[in-house]
Amino acid sequence: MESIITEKRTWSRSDVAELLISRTALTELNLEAALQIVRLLTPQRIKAGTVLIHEGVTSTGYMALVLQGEAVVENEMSGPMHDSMVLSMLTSGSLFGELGVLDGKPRSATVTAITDMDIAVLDRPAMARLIETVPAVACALMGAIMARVAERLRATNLKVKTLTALNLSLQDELSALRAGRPAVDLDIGGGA
Amino acid sequence: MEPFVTEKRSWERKDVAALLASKSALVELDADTALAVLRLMSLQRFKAGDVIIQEGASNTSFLVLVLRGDVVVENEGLSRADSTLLGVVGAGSVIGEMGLFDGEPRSATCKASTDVDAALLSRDALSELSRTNPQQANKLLATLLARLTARLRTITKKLRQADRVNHTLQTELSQLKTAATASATPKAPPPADSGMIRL
Repeated sequence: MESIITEKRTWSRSDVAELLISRTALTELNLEAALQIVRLLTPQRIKAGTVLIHEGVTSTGYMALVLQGEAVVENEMSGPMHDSMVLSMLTSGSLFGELGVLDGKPRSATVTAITDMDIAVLDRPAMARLIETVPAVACALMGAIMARVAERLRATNLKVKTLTALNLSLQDELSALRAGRPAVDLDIGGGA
Repeated sequence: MEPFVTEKRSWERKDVAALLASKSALVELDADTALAVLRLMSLQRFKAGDVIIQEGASNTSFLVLVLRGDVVVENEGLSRADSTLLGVVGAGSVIGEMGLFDGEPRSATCKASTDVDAALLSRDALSELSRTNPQQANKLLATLLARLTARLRTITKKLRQADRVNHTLQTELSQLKTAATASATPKAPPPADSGMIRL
């Protein structure tokens, strides 16, 4: 079996395929489908500190599987208190950039390597080839990506909900203070 | 070509296919694919007030294409009796596609605010299409994914806004509290101490 070679080590295709269907990547794929996808992946060695994806920059259209190393996914935030909000950490078996590979819109977050990394890249031409040559595998990949995007959408929805509820209670507290009332203990649902 | 018949009107397949390929529904879906998808869908009619999808429900085996009428999408609130209106969607909109793919409980309630005609696509029908015509299934998946991605981008923007508001509120609140403490301080010490303070 051919292998994927990065500077530091050699990855057998089955190693990469297993990572692709690991818990953090695409569990909906079977090994056979994963192996066919791995054939289209390009290995790449990344130095620590490299910005892999820049928030706001129009996507060149690729997604990648982390073989080894770590990266941080964050949103840039305004305000002096916190300049960025960490969305997640990427480790071996994580997938990133899957939003851009299909829609080519500006990137929604910044991904920065915090250690040296090996990644395996699937770019848009490779995706197109996959759809053309093994459409059933492309279907499986697409479905798996859908599930991940849906999962992120749910998580983000929940964060918005929680933060909105928190903001409401802060607003209540603020208007109580402004009205000169003592700042009573407020539960989330409280308020005058 | 057999038409889709609901109580109020009968839908020519090509009408529904046009909706399916419309800008608001499944962008870039060609007419052939839209028709193929359509053959796998089942028509359903909802009365105004009917719940089409219930938040928290574990039946996630279908997605819904709205053909006619308006659907209110809302979240049940964390606290109070408030539900958050997420939006109102109309003809050409797709709802319920998240659950179809990740199998997680429904994240929002979708209620018919008028009488609604809808076409349902089940997970089984989608797998059938993946088997029989994976090219077409890919086109459908790509368009669904594009929609989902657009929604993720929108909600991420909302999160950033909420975070900004939170930051502003926190700052304002701590300023007010500091001011309140400062103005309360002179009153607090007994008269004997006030001379000390003036020094």
